[in-house]
Amino acid sequence: METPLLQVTDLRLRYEGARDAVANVGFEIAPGSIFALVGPNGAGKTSILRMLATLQPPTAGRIQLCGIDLVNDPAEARRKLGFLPDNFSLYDRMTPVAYLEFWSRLYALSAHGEKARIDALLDELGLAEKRNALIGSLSRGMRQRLGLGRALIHEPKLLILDEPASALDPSARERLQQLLVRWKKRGLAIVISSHILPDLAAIADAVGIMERGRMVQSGSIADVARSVQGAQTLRIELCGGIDRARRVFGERGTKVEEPEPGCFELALEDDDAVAVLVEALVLRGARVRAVRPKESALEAVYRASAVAEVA
Amino acid sequence: MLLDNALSAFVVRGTHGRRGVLLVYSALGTAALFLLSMVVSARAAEDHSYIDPLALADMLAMIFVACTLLVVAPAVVAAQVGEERRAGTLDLLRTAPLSPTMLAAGFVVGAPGGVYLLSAGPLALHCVATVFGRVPVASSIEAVLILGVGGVMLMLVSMLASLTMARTSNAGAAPMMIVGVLAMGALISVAMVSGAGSTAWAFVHPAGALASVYEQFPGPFQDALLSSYQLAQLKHGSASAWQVIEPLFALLVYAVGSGFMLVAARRALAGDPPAQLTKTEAVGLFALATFAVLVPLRATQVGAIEHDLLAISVLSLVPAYVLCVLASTPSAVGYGDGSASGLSSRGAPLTAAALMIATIAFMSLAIFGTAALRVFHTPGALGFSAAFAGLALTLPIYALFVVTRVTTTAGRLAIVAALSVHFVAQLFAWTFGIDLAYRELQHGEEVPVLLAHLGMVFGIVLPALVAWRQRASDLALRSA
Repeated sequence: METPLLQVTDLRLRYEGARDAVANVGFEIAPGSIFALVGPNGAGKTSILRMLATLQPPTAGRIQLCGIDLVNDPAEARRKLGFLPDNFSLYDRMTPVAYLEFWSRLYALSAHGEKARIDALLDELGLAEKRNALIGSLSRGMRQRLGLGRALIHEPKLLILDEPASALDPSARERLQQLLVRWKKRGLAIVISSHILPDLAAIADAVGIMERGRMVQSGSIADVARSVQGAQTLRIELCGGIDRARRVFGERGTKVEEPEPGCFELALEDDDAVAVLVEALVLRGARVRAVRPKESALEAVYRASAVAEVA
Repeated sequence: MLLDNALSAFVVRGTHGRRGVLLVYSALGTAALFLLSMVVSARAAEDHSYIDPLALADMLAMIFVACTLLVVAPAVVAAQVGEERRAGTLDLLRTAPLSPTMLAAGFVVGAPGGVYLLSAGPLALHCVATVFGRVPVASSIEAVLILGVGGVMLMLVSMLASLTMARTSNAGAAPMMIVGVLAMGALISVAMVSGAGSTAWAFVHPAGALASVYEQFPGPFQDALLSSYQLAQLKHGSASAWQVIEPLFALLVYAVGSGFMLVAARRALAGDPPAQLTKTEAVGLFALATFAVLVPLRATQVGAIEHDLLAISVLSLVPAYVLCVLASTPSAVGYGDGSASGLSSRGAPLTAAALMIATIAFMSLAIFGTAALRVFHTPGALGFSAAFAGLALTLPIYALFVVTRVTTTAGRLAIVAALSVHFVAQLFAWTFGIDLAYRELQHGEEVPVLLAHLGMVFGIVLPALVAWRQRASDLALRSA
């Protein structure tokens, strides 16, 4: 197995006089991979990200980034990480170039490297044309990308993103996804928290599901999905033979829901059962237009974990 | 390397890339000051009096620099820090590889970058005036040091105030408040410098210390601020000596105070729990305040009776004392937990409070000698001192008890009632105690004496009750 870039061991955070905000959390991230943190509000995702970003010292546990202990040597660790918090602000009266120059100086980049890096970043982020506009005049998506540029100005090994897509429109979200995938391919490790599970499912390699400060599931999405198998809901869409399909379901005793005519949702245990059911529908004259999971594997895993936790 | 880069980043940001323009403004403003001085000088010549134009221009320039560095710059720092905190950009800055000291330095050096550039011309004018002998070299160095060290201290105080305020509070509130307090402090301290009895107190604001430097040599500042009578008074006795000591004393207080403020600001910028001061720092800062109050008090001409001095000193130290104790208690919850004691930063403030009271006693004895002991031979003064000790030791305890333990309206009312009784009783003790300290007890004065004694009793019994309740509450919390 590849040496992990980030190792989190028995991480714990307790605010004074309160219950544990994060309890015994552990996970690893390899270079060139995306780790998704999901969970309801207050589950401890942001607390974990703030600890990873050295903004909050943990009560107990260990975080190692490239072999550097984040608690003992936060300044050195900060050179290797970039952080974009939720609801971040920029300096509205600066231009993107001046903003990135300010940050590159804080990271003590050389003047030559600074200029080249800023130009390359602005190009990649699609902000080259706005390089001398005031930040206050940029759209939300552009500001988000500039924030990413700020987090990447010093070429970190780890990028930490807290709900980066929460206020973006679909096209901006798609663009963000493309950027993340591109950076991942270049070897950047990314930790990302988000409520937009389909987006995460499309790009994440591994997932950690948080619930009340604990990580109730973690691992690759496929592994985690297997561990909660049986939870997936299938959606079958028909363009004809709807009554025949209803009869098939009735005869087989399959519990189905029909949220709209010609659209059936049912839980199936395994892939064989799906094949048998679809074959039966086709043989009986139902015209199957599409068979797909009602939700992504990540959504199914998250829902199953949440249900288990409540139970 | 990293420090240079970080500071230059803050400076560039603070000046918004308008360095050239600001320097031109500064040069034009300085030229205007000089022209104005020449005009005033020419007018004076028409009235057969002489005002040196370069000395006058230097005085005006230093007033401008004092306003910018000692009032405007601290407010700018407070505004910048408050806004960064409110917007969340301070958290982003904390993810850069900067130590909290570098971050604090970045704010102090960078945020008022424009203000510094505007001050460049007037400071150059001051150098010219020094070179041409209008300002003695030693005074010039003292003046620049006071502006620098005093300015840094005020900026750190402002930064700390901004970091202490609630994150969601209006970012404009802190700078407005700071401008008001500092401007008022500057005016009061400059006014104090001109009186023989109060000149020793000019250090309370660097503007006062600066004024005391300029009062020491003949020139337009001395002519404008002092009458011939005041000047004669200031040439006499301790006032004369104190005028010489004042700038150095002020520098010492500012430098040590800056150290405390920097330590506290570093901790706040690092994002540690919201203790503004550790207990040890609180005791240290209070010792500095006590030193800074008692030493000039020794030289102040407020009367021959020593307990006047002690009375004034302890009164003026009460606010500093209460602030130090409150600022050194990390949070209501930390205090309420009660699991740590002594000088631990999470502990109750009792030990630190007792140390601070001991500091006053020790310094009073050290600075006033046996006079401080003689004060206590008078029963009234003893009552006064006991009342002060009771009040001082208990004020922070009351305040913390209210915020940590009392959650019901009835409980709060009970505390308010207890506090009121305490204050009224203490007031009697203070009033009659001070009065009786001056003279022998007369016939028919039994009632005031009784009230003074009652005040002393309340000052002891009520705090004891609160402390006992506090202890019981701590034990209950711990067992839970």
